[in-house]
Amino acid sequence: MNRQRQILAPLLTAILLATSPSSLHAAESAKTEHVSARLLSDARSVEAGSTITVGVHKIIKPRWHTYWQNSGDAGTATSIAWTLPAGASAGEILWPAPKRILIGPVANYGYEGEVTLLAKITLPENLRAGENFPIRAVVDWLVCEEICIPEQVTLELSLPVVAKAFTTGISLREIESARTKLPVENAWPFTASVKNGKIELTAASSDISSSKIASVHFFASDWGVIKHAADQSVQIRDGTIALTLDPYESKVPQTLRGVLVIDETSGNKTTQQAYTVEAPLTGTLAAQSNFAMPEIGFATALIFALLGGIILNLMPCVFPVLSIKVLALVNHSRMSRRRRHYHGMAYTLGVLACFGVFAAIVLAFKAGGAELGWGFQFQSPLFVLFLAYLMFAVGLSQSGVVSFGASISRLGAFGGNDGYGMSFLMGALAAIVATPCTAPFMGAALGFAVAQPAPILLAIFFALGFGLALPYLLLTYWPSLLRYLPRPGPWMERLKQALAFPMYATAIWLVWVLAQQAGVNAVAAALGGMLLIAFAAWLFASSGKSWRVANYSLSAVSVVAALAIGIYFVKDAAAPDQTVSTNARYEIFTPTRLDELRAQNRPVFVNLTAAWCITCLVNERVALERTNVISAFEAANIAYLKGDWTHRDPAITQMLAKFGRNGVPLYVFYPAGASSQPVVLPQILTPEIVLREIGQLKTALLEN
Amino acid sequence: MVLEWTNHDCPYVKMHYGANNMQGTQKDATAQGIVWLQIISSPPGRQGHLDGAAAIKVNADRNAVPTNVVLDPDGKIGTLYGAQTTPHMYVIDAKGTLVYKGGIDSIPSYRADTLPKAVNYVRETLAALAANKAVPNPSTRAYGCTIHYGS
Repeated sequence: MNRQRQILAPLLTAILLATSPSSLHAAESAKTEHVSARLLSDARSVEAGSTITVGVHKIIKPRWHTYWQNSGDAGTATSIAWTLPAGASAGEILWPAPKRILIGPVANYGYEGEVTLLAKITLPENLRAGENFPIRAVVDWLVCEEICIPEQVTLELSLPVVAKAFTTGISLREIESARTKLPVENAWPFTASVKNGKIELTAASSDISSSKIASVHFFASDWGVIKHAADQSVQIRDGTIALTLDPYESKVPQTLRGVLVIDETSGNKTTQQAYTVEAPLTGTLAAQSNFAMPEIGFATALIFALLGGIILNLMPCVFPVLSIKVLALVNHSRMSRRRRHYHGMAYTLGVLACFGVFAAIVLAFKAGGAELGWGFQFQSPLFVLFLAYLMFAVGLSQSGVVSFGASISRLGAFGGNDGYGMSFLMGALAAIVATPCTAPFMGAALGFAVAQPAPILLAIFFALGFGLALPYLLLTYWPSLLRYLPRPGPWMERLKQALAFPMYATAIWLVWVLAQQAGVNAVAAALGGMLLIAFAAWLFASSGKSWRVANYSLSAVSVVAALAIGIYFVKDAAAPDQTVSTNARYEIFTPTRLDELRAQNRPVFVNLTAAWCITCLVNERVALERTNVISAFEAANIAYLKGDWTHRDPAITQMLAKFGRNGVPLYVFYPAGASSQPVVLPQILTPEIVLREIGQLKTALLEN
Repeated sequence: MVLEWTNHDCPYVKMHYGANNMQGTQKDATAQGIVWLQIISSPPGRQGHLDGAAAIKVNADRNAVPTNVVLDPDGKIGTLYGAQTTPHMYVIDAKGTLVYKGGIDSIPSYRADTLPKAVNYVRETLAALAANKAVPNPSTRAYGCTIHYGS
């Protein structure tokens, strides 16, 4: 009888174990005051080299909670420390979708009720059948309700190792349920961007059906990305979900990571599905850094843009066009009041149209993720070349080599009578040549505009354009001002011819810019092109009746040849190497060099410039290259870094963006010390301004 | 001036006092003439709530040396500052500018074994202020127990 019992007992145990998976596993469990925990495995036996899923299942006392990987404003995530046989490894915790637990103004991310934290364990190859594979988990959690209690349990599980193909999986409710709560990866395309100081997260999928979705919430994987307690505004349409999130502070990460949890209802049933979000975050917050430009409001930005536009009229690069405009105004003064107004309006429309096109280009490139800045059109050598041609042709016309006057007016008559179209074109031309002159007011206004959504950006650009057109528009409306203009007469032809010279000068300057951009061959091509244009103009002007067709054709061929030569030589021309003579006072700006110098505790002066930026060049002449400034730099051991933005350079674009700017010039002084606050200098420099800024450094050094 | 939101029964607070970390920071700050205020925003009936006498006794028992304790049972000061956790630290410079807000140190933990590796942000901020330098980490993660504001 005793013997029989001895045989029966193990048999019974075996049968019991086989029929009841939970007791077979006898998952080691532990109980604290607030949580009962068990260690589970999805395999009842294991084989060498396989991967199994294990889980720590927690039943949390009602109203109490433990925390997710990002615990939110307070609390600490649960942690598991695994002890495994040599060669085995455990993966990261796979976190089921969390719940937001709001306590007044504080929001925590965690779990209430039941939760299973899964992890994958990879077994070594050298396990032998018959052995046991022990798993030990030390689990730490903080469990909170009104108060918080740190708790720790040690859970152990031992799985028999069997020969390959003999393993048996097991379906445990806890593990299966945890698997369904894991966020699905790469299910939907997500896009994230910063707009109006908020993070916008959008999901697009044909699976999204607005009628079924009951609620949506985004949980950031990391602390410090979004305000956990803030409401998330959600827009659900068929096919898209758009969320607006409050950034935690003034910094946003490069990539938005987290989990989007969606509750769906169908009938009385509510199901929850979570999706892993990992989307590059495009755009920047206006106040990305502590020392960025002060945030300016929309109205202020509009006023700045308008003022900047007006000031553009006085900038050297607009002057040639301005002179044409004045000439045109003299013509218009003979006109009727109404026609003058129309000319003023046509000119204004021309400027606005051009600025509208710029805005559209900026928007298009912004959407494409390209980093562009103001004046970027001058970074294209082809653009510079064609503008040089245009200036040269206008100059020829002014000089009287060829009289485009009548023909262009006729050409421009599409806009209405009396060459309103010409006024329109003049406006467009003024807008194009004005762009490289980043007047001081414009810097901040444009910096503001580019970080804004499309309508605001457009408004800023239009305000800028309107400012540019305003003085001329006012003159057409105020005949009393026109009275001060001299009476028309033969002097006008002389003046017209004289005004050709600023055009030629502009063309020379543009060719010089081209030389910086595309090298000597491009200059030869440009000058050759100009020769052809001059030839074409001469042919065009001197054509008698009998030869008209031939002359016109040859003239057209010359112009086409000029363009073709330009395109051929300039398009693929490599930029000449930046050769820096050893005695140069400056080094080339790179972010790395800046960091190095600052780490060496040296004060650094950064000058971001471009060949096409007249303001930059003037500043260098009148301030930065003055002997007293140079010697002050040397005396204070200031490293001088110069960044050339004549071509697009992402490192410089980023540096500009860091200071809320969108164009050159930018002058920044970093006092000594790796953590010193940089000082941004004005866009128009005098030796006094520069000396004052670095003079502050000297006193600071003495004080320390 | 240093503000320290506290709740003497919170495990995080207990750890920092248990390891003498908070008291040490208080001592060094007040020795430099810095005013250190403990603020208790727990409303009556919630963990951490103390009356004046009890607050003084708790501090005496754990050798805490703040300049003084502010009782904020209606949570007015706490909500103004946006204090969310205990501890939650704020540093205000001589000009009255808030120059630091966040955690006591760089490793969110209720276990003392993380202390040697953690950067004490309050010490770091006070050192930068003393040297007339920019505060290296002006805003950091506050970690600890949720402050349960009374409603």
